Amino acid sequence: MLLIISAVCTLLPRSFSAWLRGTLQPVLAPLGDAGTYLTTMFEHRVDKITAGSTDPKRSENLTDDSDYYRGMAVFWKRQAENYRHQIENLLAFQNLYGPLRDLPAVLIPARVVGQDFLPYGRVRTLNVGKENGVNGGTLVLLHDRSKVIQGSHLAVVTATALVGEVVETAAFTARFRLISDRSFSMPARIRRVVDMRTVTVTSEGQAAQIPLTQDQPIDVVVQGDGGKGLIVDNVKAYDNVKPGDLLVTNDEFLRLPVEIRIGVVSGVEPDPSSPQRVRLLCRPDADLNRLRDVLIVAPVHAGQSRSRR
Amino acid sequence: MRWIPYVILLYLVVQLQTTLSRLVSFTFGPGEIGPDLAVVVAVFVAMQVRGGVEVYLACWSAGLAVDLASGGGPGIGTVVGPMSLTFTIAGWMVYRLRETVFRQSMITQAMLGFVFALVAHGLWVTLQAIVAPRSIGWSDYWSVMLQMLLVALYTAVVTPLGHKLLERISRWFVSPPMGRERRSRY
Repeated sequence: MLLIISAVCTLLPRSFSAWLRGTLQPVLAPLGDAGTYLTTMFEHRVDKITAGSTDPKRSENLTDDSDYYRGMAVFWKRQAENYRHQIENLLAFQNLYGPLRDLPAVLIPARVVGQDFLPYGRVRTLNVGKENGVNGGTLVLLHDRSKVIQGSHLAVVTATALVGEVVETAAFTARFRLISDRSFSMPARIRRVVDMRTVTVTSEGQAAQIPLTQDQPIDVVVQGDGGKGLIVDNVKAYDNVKPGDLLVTNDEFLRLPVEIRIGVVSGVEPDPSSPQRVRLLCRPDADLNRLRDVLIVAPVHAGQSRSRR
Repeated sequence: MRWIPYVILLYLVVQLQTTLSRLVSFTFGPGEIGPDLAVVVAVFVAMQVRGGVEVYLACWSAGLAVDLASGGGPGIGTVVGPMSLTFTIAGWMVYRLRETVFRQSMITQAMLGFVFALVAHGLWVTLQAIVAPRSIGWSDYWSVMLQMLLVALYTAVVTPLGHKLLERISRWFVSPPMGRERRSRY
């Protein structure tokens, strides 16, 4: 009887499973939040202890740097306030006469309250759901609280890296898969910062490397490797991508039409199937294991209230 | 079986696994490797609880809890059902084997934990790969199977420790034997 129930559940549509999980999640989420907090706090404490003591000179340099950045933060906060006033004035003008050009999306702050029971998928549970406007397919960004600038219009500066994509939503919870999950895949770009692309020019029997002045980003498709990293296949060896180059989102991608960092190229491997191609191994910008505060990019469609932005 | 305490135990196990188990997990080779605490509980129940029906129901419940708390795996979004199915099959195997082994031995507990995890997770990965909406490549499948093998090994290491802890609290969720049998035991 039990086996029949399980078999029937297995053959039912996937939406039924999502509904069942969504029904259970509110029971797990409250305690899960506390558990995730404890785990993250413990890992940070261990990091601090194992990092070792800093030598006095380095400590002095860090204090100086800290003072400098604090001053810069105050300066930029004032500048930002000025710009905000200017932008408000311009927006008022634009609303009257021009087309809407900003990112049509709401950034919903959320917190990771748990991970998957099994380690085969890299999926996390969030404490927001359909009631908060989260739908399947929306993207999730890292919310770096240390960089928060107080102000109602500046939330976007805290979104430092892409970390995943929402795959299941229930009323009060949502599940998102990390960018390192095997099933994750999306269009992205490589920005070369280490070594610009060069072309080999042969003149009178002598070869010379000439750097290209207009270095264009390389359009690629990135996918998770199932562990901690990302893989980019089918990149032309000619593009000369080096470890240290940046992996960013493609701003032509409709769900996130801005360029946000995903990771850094950590290795380049030859593609066994084609000598002209290479495989890139990338390291995510965010520490995916210790993820806690995130922002969800929920697109606002035409006809929805603009006041939510 | 005392079912209400058992359900509470499963709830706590799910909480532990989905939050604190990250501290004892690590990334190696094909992916993240961590112990499956539900397997530890299911093996304990399959070795200690008297009635076969109770064992199957307890293993099925543990599998269902794992299914409900997991959404990732082969393919996009796994379905609920396969883990309760495979936990019941693995529970039946351990229940049949338990009379032929020395239950108090740590090596036996570790071996049974390994076999249980191998059967339950191996079948689960295969079933999920079959019903996945997007076809899974063989390389991905074998990569997950290798990960599953390492998870089973890790679970086997943790199983004897889990048994030591569960023995201390087993009176809360395992009913003592009744009547003459109880008298002859004590």
